[in-house]
Amino acid sequence: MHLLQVSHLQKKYGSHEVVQNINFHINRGECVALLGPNGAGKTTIIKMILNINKLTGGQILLNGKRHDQMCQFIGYLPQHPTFDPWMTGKELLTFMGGLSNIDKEVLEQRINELLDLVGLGGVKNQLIGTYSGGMKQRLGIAQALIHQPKLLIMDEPVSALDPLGRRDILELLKVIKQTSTILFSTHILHDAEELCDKILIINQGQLLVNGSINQIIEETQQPIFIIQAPRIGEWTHELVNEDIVESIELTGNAAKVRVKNIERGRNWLLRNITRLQLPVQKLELVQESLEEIFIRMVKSS
Amino acid sequence: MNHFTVLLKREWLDARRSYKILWLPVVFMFLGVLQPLSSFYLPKILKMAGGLPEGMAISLPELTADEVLAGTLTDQFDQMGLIVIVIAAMGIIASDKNNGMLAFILTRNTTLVEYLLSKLLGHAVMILGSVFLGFLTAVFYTFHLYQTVSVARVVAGLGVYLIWSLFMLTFVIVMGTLLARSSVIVLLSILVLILLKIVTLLGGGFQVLNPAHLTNQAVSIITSGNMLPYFFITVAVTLSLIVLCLLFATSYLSRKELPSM
Amino acid sequence: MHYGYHIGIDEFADWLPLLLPILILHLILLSVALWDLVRRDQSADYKWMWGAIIILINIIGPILYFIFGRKERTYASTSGKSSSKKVRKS
Repeated sequence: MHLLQVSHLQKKYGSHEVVQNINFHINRGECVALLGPNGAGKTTIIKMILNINKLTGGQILLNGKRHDQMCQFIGYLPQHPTFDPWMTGKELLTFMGGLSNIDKEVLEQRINELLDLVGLGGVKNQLIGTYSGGMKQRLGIAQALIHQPKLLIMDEPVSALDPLGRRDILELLKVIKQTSTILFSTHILHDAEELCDKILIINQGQLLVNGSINQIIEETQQPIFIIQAPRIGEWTHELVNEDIVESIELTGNAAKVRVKNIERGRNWLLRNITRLQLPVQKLELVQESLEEIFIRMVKSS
Repeated sequence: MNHFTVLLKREWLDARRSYKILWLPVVFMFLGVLQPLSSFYLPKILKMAGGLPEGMAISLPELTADEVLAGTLTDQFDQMGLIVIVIAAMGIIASDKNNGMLAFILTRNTTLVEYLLSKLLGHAVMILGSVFLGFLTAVFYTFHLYQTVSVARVVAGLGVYLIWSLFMLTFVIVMGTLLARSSVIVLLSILVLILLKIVTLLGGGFQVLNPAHLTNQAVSIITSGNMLPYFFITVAVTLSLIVLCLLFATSYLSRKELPSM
Repeated sequence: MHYGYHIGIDEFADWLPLLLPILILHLILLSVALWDLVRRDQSADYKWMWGAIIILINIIGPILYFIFGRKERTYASTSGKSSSKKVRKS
């Protein structure tokens, strides 16, 4: 049984479909990134799993049970966690822990452990109103972990932070990852690549890719030929309309030619270079990076 | 420990940190002092100041103790007091809604009913307690400056007034669930509540259905010991309006998707 | 200009028990408001302004401060540094 099973998930606002027929699952111990540009529907999906937004279609199962009965199961860090500024960090955790029905003695100990884990031990008795953005993010993580959830869900956990804060939180997440199952959304591929085993790429409410990073690269990677020649632009328009060509991208003297099949593509390209007598300075075959795959998928969908 | 106690503890902490627990009672105590003191000393001060200029003789009616107490309710509590209640309650729901605490609370299996009741109870204790203390102060000053009034009448009148106060609080809470900006909440709440007050001046049978009419009932009980006709209908209407307001707030919040956070 | 009234010591003694509670309430509000203002992490300008309001406007001043003046300084920084020098002791 999967820890989280999402099937045929759909969200409609009026006639506008924000999320369309999404299926995926998460196993215990996995770290999964929900990747997509802003406005792709990531937050909506997360809120539906959390039962903050109601689904208009499909089903979400947590540990085999309907998700709306499984609040205790999930720890949640929203995109911009802001808490009551008049509480201290420790009081907030006591409050959230109390709502999760944790025994007082256990809670006390757990709060101290968590505050040390996220590095807020020294400021636990200061008002949250005096915390910086990064500190609030850390407190948000501690808050999400207080009831020892089976699944930790985070919405853009590092997007709002400066590079230093972002590094800190990523390192912290690496530690947490070892003991928890994590689902987090981000629009930054690099974060996903660094932390995750599995990636879900979402755009305009549709799931484009679902799989481990290696798998995605293997399955969807397209070879790219880079041809460098003077006035290459004059030649490329002759090539564009061929069947084998996926796309041609021009940058200065170089053209990036994506082909559908590496063997046929190579033969075809070499034939054309001789036919057109292209004064080639450089010819190179490269593999798409994950980022290029991401951008291509988002653009083409 | 169940959710409700945890939520109430948070209200208590909020009351302390925001000093509401201090300034709310103090404001109402000031308001309570104001009416007896000014009614008693204003004529004396005017006399000491050499009387009014000629031709401007205003006859200041000799007030009785029960009239002074009734005046505390109509002139102080229903004016400044009303505004203070609205300001004290303006952010109750709106701030939780806006800063995302409400979503946090709801992800912990807390029901909206528990949440709203904790808010209502926490503030009801504080606001009704303040009204009570304020009126108690007024009673002490009145007894000292004028004469004693039947305690039973005072208690009964105050009790009726507290129902109206509870209605004001509930109304502001509902405005807080519907609206986001506290300035709008304050303005609209004050507008509607004062409108209800003004409508009572028109008289007419439909006052029976107006919660603000409870102040008139309280005044009548304090000054004459008798309630106006249809007393129980007005009380029943007010109490059901309170319940309806809460039900409406619950269903509105449960249907509404919380703002992105 | 002579308004022709003065308050004798006897009359003052009459008034005192009535005015004393008001005075005490006022002093409590005033001192708590000032105490909170002094501990707040805010600029000197901010403190002077509210300090003047609290002291100069009787009764209403401290209450205005409690409702509108208790704002924390907001940080532009979003750094994740766990040690902060600016936070106040409490």
